[in-house]
Amino acid sequence: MELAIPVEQWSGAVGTVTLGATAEQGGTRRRTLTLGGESTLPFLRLEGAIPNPPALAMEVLDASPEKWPEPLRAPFGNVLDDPAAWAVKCVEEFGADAIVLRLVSADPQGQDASPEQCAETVRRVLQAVSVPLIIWGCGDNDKDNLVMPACSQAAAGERCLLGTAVQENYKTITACALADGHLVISEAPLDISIQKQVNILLTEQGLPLDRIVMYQVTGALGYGVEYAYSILERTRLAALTGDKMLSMPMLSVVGSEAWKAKESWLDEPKWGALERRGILWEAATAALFLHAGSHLLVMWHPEALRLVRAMLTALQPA
Amino acid sequence: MSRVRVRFEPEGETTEGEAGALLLDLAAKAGLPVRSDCGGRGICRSCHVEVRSGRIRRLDQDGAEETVAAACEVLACQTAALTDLVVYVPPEVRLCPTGEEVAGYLGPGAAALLRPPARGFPLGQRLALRLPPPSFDDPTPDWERLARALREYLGEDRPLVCDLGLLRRLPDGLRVHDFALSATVVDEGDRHRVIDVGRVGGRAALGLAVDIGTTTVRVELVNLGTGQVLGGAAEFNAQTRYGEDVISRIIWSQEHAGGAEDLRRAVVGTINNLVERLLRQAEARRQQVVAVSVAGNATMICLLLRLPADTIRRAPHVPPVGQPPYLSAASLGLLAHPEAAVFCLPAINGYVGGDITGGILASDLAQRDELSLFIDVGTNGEVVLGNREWMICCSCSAGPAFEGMGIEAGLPARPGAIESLVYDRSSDTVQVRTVAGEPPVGLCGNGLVTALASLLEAQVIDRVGQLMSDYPSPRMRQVEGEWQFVLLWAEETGLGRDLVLRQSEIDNLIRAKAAVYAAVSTLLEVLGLTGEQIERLYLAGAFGSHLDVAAAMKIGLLPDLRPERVTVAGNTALMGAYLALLSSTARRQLREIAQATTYLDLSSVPRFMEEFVAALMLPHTELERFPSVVARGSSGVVS
Amino acid sequence: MALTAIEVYKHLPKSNCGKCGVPTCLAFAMKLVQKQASLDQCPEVTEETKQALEGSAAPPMATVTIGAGDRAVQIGGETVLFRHEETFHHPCALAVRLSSSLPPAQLAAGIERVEGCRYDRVGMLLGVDLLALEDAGDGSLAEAAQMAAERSSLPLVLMSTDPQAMGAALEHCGAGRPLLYGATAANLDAMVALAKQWDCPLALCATDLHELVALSERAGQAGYGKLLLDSGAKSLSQLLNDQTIIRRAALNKKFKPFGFPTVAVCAAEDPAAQMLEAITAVAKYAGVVIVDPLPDEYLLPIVTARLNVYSDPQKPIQVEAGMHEVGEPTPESPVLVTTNFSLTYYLVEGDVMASKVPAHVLAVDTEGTSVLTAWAAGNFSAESIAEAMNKFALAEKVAHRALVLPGGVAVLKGKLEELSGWEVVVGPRESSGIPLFFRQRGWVPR
Ligand code: SF4
Ligand code: FES
Repeated sequence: MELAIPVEQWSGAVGTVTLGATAEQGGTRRRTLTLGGESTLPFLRLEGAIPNPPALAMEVLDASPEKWPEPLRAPFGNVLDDPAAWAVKCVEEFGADAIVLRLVSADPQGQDASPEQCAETVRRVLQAVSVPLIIWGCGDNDKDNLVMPACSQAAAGERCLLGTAVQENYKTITACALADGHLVISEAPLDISIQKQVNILLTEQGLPLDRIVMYQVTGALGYGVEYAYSILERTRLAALTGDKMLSMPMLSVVGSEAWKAKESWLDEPKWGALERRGILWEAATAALFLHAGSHLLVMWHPEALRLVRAMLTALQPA
Repeated sequence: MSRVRVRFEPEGETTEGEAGALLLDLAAKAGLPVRSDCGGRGICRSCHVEVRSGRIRRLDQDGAEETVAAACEVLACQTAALTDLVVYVPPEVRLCPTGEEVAGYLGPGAAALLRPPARGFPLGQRLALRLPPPSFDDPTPDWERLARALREYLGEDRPLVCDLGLLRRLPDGLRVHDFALSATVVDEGDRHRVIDVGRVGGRAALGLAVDIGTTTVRVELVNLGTGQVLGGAAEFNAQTRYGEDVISRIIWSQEHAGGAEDLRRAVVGTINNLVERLLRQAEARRQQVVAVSVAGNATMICLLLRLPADTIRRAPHVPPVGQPPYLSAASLGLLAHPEAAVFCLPAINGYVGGDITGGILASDLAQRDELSLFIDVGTNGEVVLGNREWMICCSCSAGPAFEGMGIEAGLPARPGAIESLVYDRSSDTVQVRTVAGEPPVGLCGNGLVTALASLLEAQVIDRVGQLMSDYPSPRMRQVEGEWQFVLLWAEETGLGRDLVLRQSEIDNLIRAKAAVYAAVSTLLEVLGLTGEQIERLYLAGAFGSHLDVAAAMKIGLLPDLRPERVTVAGNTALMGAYLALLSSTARRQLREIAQATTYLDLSSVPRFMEEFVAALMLPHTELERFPSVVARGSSGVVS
Repeated sequence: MALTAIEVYKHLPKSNCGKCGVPTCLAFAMKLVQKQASLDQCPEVTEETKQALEGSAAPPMATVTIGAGDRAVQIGGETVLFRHEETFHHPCALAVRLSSSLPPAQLAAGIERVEGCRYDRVGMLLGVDLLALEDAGDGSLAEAAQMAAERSSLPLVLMSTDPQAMGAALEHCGAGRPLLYGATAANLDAMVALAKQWDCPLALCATDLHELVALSERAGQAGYGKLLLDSGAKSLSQLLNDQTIIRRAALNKKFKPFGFPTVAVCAAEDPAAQMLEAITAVAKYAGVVIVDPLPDEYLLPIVTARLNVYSDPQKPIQVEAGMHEVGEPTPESPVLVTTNFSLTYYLVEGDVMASKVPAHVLAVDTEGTSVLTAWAAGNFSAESIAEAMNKFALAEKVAHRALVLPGGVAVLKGKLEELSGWEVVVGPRESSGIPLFFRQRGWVPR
């Protein structure tokens, strides 16, 4: 019997989204980052192009992460209380493709930093690094609605990715993105329908498809990752079968989820060496998201990022 | 206009009328009414008679006139007498003489009779009989004599029974009336029972069609001989004071001493009140009511019969009985002839009851080739999909939002309830139409549907139903931390306060519509069918006959079908009860429906939850499922 | 393409006799389609029907058993390419390989370690399923197999292309039905003979997909069907490519030579890279994944990934029953009760978060059903709530004695107060009402 290579004829493709704007494009980035564009399943070159490999971003918090375990703090030395320096280290030393600036300081339950303070941090980080910036609110809708406009303005023209728009709170952030030339993260709570609903709401506000990145609340290896895994797979299949409203690139938050898992920090000798466990857990979680079709991973540990980068290389055809 | 004389055989009764009068009317005039199950529409052929001589006009043949030479079968409702005639009325066509007018059923809420009653015997009937008097040649005893005649008429070999009282009355009864008498016979399923004998031409035998809804009880008083509805009435189910929904009532019946009896008494009280009112209006007597057919969900039937209902509530949700045996009115405490037969429409299971089998019967879904969808929106939503070959049903907890419950501005349909509401963005005004034109006091189901559709169109709400807080109108306001939209200002209402729709209420409505739609799409999905394959949609329940189908599709309550495929059927449970009252065939079909319908437990189908979430958008997350809504250019739709 | 329930129904007798255990033929057809019933449960079906329905139901991928007895593992029998389409049925087997030439003491230690690679995870034991012995080519395989058979309860994988070494090893462990890895173009006939003799599953080791077709056909002609497939992929990208092609050809094209589970041997030097390679194999269709004796911290992610990928996506998503903290509640913070259905729970959690009032949320185990469904079914009752309050020691976690009950089940208040001795406060019907409810009660953000 002759083997006929079973090739699928996909009618659609993942859309592309470009983060960051260079000087000619009205920003100050020296590098931009294009996500998506595949007309095939993850890493399967058999039946379509993969113009842009998945990208790895690193997350920077604007307030020193007090609770981080030692294996996670170690590689960063003394930059953890300076977001700009932290970002520089991520880009120059660890090779991050983009920086996620998470404005935890804005949390009204915590430091309750003012919108102006946050905007200042955004400015500093933008000056310090030349890669695209992802600005992520503190998760408190009311506060984010105050903070995001200030940060968006501070970064006007830089084509940052702003996060996140959720079903109950999408208008302010979309308006910011439209006014200042940014992109928006469309967030859904592990549900493909809600993801599509948020996407529709955003587009009905006038935001074009190529300015949306999708994000399903993630979960880590061993902690519900399979739900996100299947939703991402289904989303990719939807894009390939022509569903425009689910065709945007997808982002997954890996670092913070993986390090929440007991396996990353609990002193349990049966599970092996604690100093490597968190790194491996993060890398393993990342691997699953990549196979499910994620386009942009938000990482914490530089070693995990290095491992995943190596895997991405191994997934390139010889 | 000339007069004609018509003689009806075999009795030889003769009557006079105008030339051009229908045989159906002439027969009734002669005191020999014939069956007219479809109300004289030429559909059911139940009125077929034989014209033996004379000249007639055939309305069903484009008014063709013909002179009858040899005997010729015609429909009495479609044939006019042009000259004197001789007409033979076959026994199966004959109704007992009542002297009342023949009329079709156009009961409350029934925009159109979906299916004429099939042939067969009413649940109770009064038969005019002429028995040969006993003689030495024929010394058959009185009861056997009566039974022989009845059996001949009934043409069946089911046993015929009676109680001792009747036997005692029978000898006198026969002789007082010279062996020409009427007998009242009720159908008890496996046998017939004679419950009364009396003179010919006495009062008509009446029946009750009862729909016990969780919220509302409806009763119709029906002439069993003619099918005519003498009156209808409705009232809130008095059980409501023990709990709004079936589950609370089941719990009440379990957890309170005498709870089951409280509930039974409440519903029997409600029914009897209605019956009393109807009898008074019709100037009829309790003794005339010889048959009762009852449609209700399994819990309602259990509570009426005071059966333990707890098993309905607990998995796997099995009711104590699907179809109760035929009972007597006295055993249930119903206001009727004590021996009146009570027939409960059979349930499919604990969640899909006789109200739905009645609906399936009334919609004729089980008899048709084409794929039909039947949706009953009440406190729960029930959905049936199928055709003559197979049927599948499910139940979803839509909640009573569309019955106006849980929504402050909501109301059941009654005078003053808004049936339709249109908001105009440019002028910031609202136009309403109310039931009976009374000043608006709230919105009924259709009012809510049209309001939602209109607010979406005007972009007062977004596609997930969130009020746009920045909407430029004083109607948009925040009260106690919650956004609301003023539909009518106090002075525009009959209430004296603003009529508003709150965010949480909109969410409620969207969940209710999503549950109904998701139930439909899940049924289709598990069978591997698609929405386009649905050829007919019957909508029953809360919306009465006033649903704005286009608005219902705009919000995604109903699947997007061409409007001509949609029949808004009104109260099909009551219609099913009515049909069961009049026809043994209908009663048999009901049993078959209950047996052949497959029940799908939505909670066992993981897909349902996904379909539900996808349906939480207006009209739906998968816009391509609503091509005509999108094509009609609903606002802001992205391609 | 699988038949729909209606298509299956058309073949059934339509008599609704109920002998198959469900009331109607349509219900039975639905069960058949979901593979929850088999056609022989209906005594009324005709031969024609059987042919029409079973012909289309032949499994496209064989299920293969490795080992014998308790710890035998089944692999293959997969029916879908993506887990959401149905589920992946048989978790792939994880094998750890040891070289046969290890000194006996080391080999013994290695065997012991592999045997002990088991990790406890919420009542489940995850671990290594197979012990692989790799022939070092120095005549040591037989002895190693003997030691493994004696010391380990795990089914074995014998990795050798030398039929003689294989035959000798089988003398010691053949009764345990090890996986023979494997047959090449050069040794296929001898290997098939051995596999037949010992009734063992046999892996076909090709150098590429086309050779794999040829090997599979030869084994088929030789009359052997307990096969596994290895395309010999040399890179991670090749592995993913080959595995996908094999699975698709088998399932979508019913390509017989590929209708077997696959083997992936992970060989990356760097242990972390090998872990990621194994996870790739787990996610992308391998039936057996063979790795080096990696330290625990590398094995644990692999077996966890397997658990996740092979879990049944049809099960309702539940959160753990018990006390959950939203925000950072103190003993004075309010306590709400809800069910462990994740959608319900996350709605409540989200709305509590939105209120910015930290709170405790008690999730009662209702088998993953929502408040009203569980209440209707009797799973969310005064009794079950009171029981959960005790079980999760509410009284120790908070200083007050007030519990917020979902408004939809306000009827439970009286009974619950009686049973628990707590004050029961009726909350809003919809969780979206929580922020307002908190405000009205004077519970303010901290
Ligand atoms: S046993 Fe067969 S004929 Fe009887 S109901 Fe089941 S499928 Fe139908
Ligand atoms: S045909 Fe129905 S009444 Fe004549």
